[in-house]
Amino acid sequence: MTTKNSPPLQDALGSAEQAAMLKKERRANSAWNKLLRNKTAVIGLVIIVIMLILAVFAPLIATHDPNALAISKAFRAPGVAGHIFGTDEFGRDLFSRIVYGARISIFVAVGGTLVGSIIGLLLGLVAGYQGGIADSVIMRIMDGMFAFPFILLSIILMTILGSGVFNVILAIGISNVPSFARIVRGQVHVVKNEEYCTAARVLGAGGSRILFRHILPNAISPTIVYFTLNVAGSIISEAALSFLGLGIMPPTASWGNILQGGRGALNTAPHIATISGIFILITVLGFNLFGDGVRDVLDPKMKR
Amino acid sequence: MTEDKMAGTPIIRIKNLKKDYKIRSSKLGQPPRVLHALSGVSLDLFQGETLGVIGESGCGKSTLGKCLVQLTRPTAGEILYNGQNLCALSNSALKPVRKELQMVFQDPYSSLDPRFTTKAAIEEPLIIHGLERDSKKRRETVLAMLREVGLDVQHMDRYPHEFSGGQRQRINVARALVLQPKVIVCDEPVSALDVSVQAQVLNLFSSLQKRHNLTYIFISHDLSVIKHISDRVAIMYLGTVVELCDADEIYQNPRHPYTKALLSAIPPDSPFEKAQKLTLSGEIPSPIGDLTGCPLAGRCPERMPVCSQKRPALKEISPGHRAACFLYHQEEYAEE
Repeated sequence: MTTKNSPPLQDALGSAEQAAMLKKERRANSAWNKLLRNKTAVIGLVIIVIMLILAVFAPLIATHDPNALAISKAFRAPGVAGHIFGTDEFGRDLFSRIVYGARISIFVAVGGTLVGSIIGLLLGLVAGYQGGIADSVIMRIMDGMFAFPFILLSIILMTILGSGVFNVILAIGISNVPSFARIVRGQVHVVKNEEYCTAARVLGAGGSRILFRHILPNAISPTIVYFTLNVAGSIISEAALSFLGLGIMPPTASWGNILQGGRGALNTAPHIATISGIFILITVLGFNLFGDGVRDVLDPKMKR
Repeated sequence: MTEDKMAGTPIIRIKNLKKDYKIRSSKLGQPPRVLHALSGVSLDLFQGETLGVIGESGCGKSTLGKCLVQLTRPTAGEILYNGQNLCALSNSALKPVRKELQMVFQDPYSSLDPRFTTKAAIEEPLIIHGLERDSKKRRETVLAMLREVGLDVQHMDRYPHEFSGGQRQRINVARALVLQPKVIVCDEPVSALDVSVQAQVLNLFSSLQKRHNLTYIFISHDLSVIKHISDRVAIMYLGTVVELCDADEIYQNPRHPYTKALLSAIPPDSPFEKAQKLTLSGEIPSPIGDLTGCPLAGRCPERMPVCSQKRPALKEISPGHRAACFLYHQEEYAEE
């Protein structure tokens, strides 16, 4: 903009303008703004927000007590007698159960992913940064866990831990640890050998400073992407565990056990399984779309 | 000028520095092979001078630089800085020394953290060493440093990707300089830059040296860059220093056969000028495994029988001029 030989006053003026322009440009290019320009991500985000509103304001949205039994009103079709989605096999209002189920399903999925990502992140950081024996030991254990199919591992953990919301979170979390550890470790390996980490060492920075100030911020993007996509997977895992009778125990509503309850009445009252299934589908789709958008923004190299 | 420096006590003495890398053998059960990146380097570095280190790729010049700032621990030998042997210091004991021994890296792109603004990058060393705890004062220090390297306020809150290569290298220099070091190891700091920018950055190095009384070790493979900036030049070949003397002397009066060949590779000033080309036949021998005799023995045009039996030491052949070649150590040769 300004040439080198321009008088200092003009230079200062130019620089102020330049700085303002730069700020504007930077804001437009921030990850969040890029995300909002991404159509699929916005659609996903809208779905997620709707589901979150359902979950958070469940007591306000629900039309009935989700656990109030009324055997005489069982298997009502949607729309009959003020039951928006009809009633289930015990005559409970399905709409209210779905709304309360959103709470449990999303809480368990996000919680499980959070547990898995935090443990996986720490293990991956240590393995990637330390290398050597620590790396071998941690990653071999992770490989061992990978050897079990995800659902089988969760079932084993659920059998050991017993049912309950927090145990489901723990089971899903632990099953998620190896993949997070692997992603983080690989990324740390890449970033660790960048020259700015070497430079930080010459400047006198200690290991923890390099790890948390330099390596972690530069290695976190793929983990965030995987996190969003993993929430979708965890919703399915929770539903699967509940469907198998190992997850959330009735009468607490979760989408998985509503689906399981509807399975027995698939011929007489198909709406129970259908509606809960659709909610699982839409939510998973929402998280997947959002995750894809996040990946496009944070990890452009992975694009298609 | 150089005579005065020679008379002073060296700020850094490198004594017989060796760095070996173990290479995992390809076959199971085979003993690991050893790569000698540095095989016995001895150098003195004097206050306020620029020592140019030159050599072809793989000759160990970068390893030398890394050993100097203790990025890699040498296998054997000593690096004496103010009487302290850096190689014997623990990492925590090394921290105060790091303040005085800084490094500028080759790649201006990858040596700045992409998530750190200029200000954050330059103030980081101050935070690490707890030098300036007041953030306002720190900002002033950073700004002063930026101005010193030819940048200004408007560059403070920008990220590395918003700068050109030359500007980034200036930031790198500022980051190294903010700790007020005594010695800066420059590992090919201009080789990733355009030639026009190279000159600017080199001039920056020179002016900073005068203002702060800095001592440089300037590693490069570019003969003209070395000629421009160095007071003394060390020529490296296969992990050893083969010749060490004043910068002017080495271009006018090279003694070691390798130096002669290296210099004859500079294209003549005019395309019509017929330059006498001195080419070495063959390739550099592999640094893997043990080597007896002079490393150049297989390629040297002036080879003598003794060359393949003994390794010549770096010895003074005229005042301030050292070379490691039996051509100039007749008495030693005669002993055989």
